[in-house]
Amino acid sequence: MVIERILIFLLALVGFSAIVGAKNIIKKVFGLNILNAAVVLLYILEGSRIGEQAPILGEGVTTIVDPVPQALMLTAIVIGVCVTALALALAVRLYKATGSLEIDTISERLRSEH
Amino acid sequence: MSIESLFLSPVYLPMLGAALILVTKHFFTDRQRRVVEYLSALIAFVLPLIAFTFLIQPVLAHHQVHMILGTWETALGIHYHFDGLSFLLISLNLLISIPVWLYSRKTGPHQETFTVIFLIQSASIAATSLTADLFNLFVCLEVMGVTSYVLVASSEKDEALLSSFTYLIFSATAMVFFLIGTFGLYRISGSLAYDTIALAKNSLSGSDLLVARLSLVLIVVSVLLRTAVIPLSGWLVGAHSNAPHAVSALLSGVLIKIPLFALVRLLLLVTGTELLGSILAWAGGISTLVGIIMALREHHAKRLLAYSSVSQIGYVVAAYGLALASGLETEKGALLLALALLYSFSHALAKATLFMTVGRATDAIGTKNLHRARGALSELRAQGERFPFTGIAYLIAFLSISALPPAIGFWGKNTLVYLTKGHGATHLLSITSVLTIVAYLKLSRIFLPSKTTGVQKTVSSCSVLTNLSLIILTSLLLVGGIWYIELQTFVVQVLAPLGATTATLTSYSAAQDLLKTGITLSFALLIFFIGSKTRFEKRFEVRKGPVVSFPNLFFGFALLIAVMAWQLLIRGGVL
Repeated sequence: MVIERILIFLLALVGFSAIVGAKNIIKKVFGLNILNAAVVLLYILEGSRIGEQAPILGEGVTTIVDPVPQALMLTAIVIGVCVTALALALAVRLYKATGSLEIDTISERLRSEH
Repeated sequence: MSIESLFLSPVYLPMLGAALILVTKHFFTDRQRRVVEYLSALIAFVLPLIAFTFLIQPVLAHHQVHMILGTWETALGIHYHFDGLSFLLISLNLLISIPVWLYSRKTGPHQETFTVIFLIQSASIAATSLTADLFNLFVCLEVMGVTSYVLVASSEKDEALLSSFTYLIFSATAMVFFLIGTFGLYRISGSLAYDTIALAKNSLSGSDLLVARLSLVLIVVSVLLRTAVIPLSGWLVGAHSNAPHAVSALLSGVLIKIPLFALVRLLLLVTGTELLGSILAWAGGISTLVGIIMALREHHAKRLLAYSSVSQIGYVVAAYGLALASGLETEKGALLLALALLYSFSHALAKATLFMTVGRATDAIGTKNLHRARGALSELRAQGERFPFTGIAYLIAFLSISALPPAIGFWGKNTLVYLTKGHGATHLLSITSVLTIVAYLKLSRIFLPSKTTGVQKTVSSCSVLTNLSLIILTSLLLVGGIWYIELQTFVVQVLAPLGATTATLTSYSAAQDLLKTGITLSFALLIFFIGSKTRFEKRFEVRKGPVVSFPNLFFGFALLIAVMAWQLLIRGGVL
């Protein structure tokens, strides 16, 4: 359990550092996705503590994992996809407007338009 | 009609309106589509408003409805709670949204999808105010966020794209932390409903309590980011100043306040929020002062307004924090929460009017630079505005936001500052009152007559609908000012189920404050004239526009989490 948690934490750290540090806006969006994925894994991991089987009730299924975190994460994933799609659409329009994907170049060119 | 269908109407009617527009998009002619658009807006805004007039009586009688969506059992279903708080928040949204939408008809954005997104946003605001389920709050906040990114990007300017992108990345990351906080609370309570979480949280000890506190810190900081309290407000200035005028008005007026008050439902149930409240009060106080100083350093009209929003939201957060600190069951706490809400209302009206009028004026002049923009009134007249609606609306909004009589802001700010006395943050609020007037005097110069008469023709922004929207907002500002005492009694009464039942501001006297306002005003005039006659103003101003820096933005985020965690965990405060 400890190793999994450390791995998830590292994954979140990778995502977060990409969001903060990466200059390329596409990489920032990737970072956001990685961070999201880390949280999804965290929920699923912790939800699986109380059981072993998938939460589909049927014959012989007795110790199911907690289904609520899984349901929540489905929603969170959908929202994540929407946000990613919107971010990428904005990135495309930024590229069309300035001809660059680097955040510094973009803000410089936008300012020099005036 | 049942009470449930009435109070849920602001959630589903805008959705219905949005669907109507989308469905008819491919079948009807342009003319018919326009009719559908107006019809949808009528369904989305006017019908809920009518429904809410029927709800005044039940709300005054402290009638509360707690319901579970669908036919789920208590532990699994999504909880919705209707009471005075949600009533007031949704009314605020409806009252601002109607004029903003009317205003957007002429000034744009003109795409049909604008109305669709606008309506979905309105629905999400209503849902945020009603929900009593932590994960549902997350979903509502995300919907609210996604719609506002789109609205900001709907501007024709390219800068708006970058602002929208920054806003998106920043707030989406914060929402991930919100999710982690939600997870922490789910782990210790096994539920997502506020009441169950609070029940579990209040009987914890040891390491579980630590997890619960840290989770709450994460949730509170993520929500504060949406509220744009000072170390977290870096995204706001670009987003609010580059958005279309109508969108700026809505975002600054309504959107930044809703998450804060939605959180009150959870914080109310959790015991021992005194220290958290005190930290919030300080954060609010610092926000007011730093926000207004940043505003004074601007020479771009809309950026000045955006920074002023950071400053004004500080008043709300300070009152809100002090309300939590003294506890809502006490008379003072209940009053402070009511005043925080009333101040949000008065700021929303004033700021929406300011964004609309200043937007219109600067469009007419053709520049947003405060050093060059002059003669807005004559330019507007040249564009066909026979009666100076814009100028008058600006004047009233200016009076309100500077806390001068007779507008609502005079009462709102003075009663608020009066009640926060005794806490250190009050002094920050008093200094800010002076500087606010200075900042708005600086902004008002765009209405001074211009020396040069270089009339450049732009598209006329005058229409019946624009004037109507300004008339609605201005009259609300004045009506709120004239009947402020009654309004305050109403709000306190409506909010009574949350805390103390009888709370009146007996010791407050407006006459005394008139004198104080006079002194404040003369100080402000003095500073303004010294500033504008000497070269001090130019030295003080920033030369370049703000630079988007992600490390800086996230540094603020980390800082606030660290301060809160240190105060609440290490120093052993209660939360």
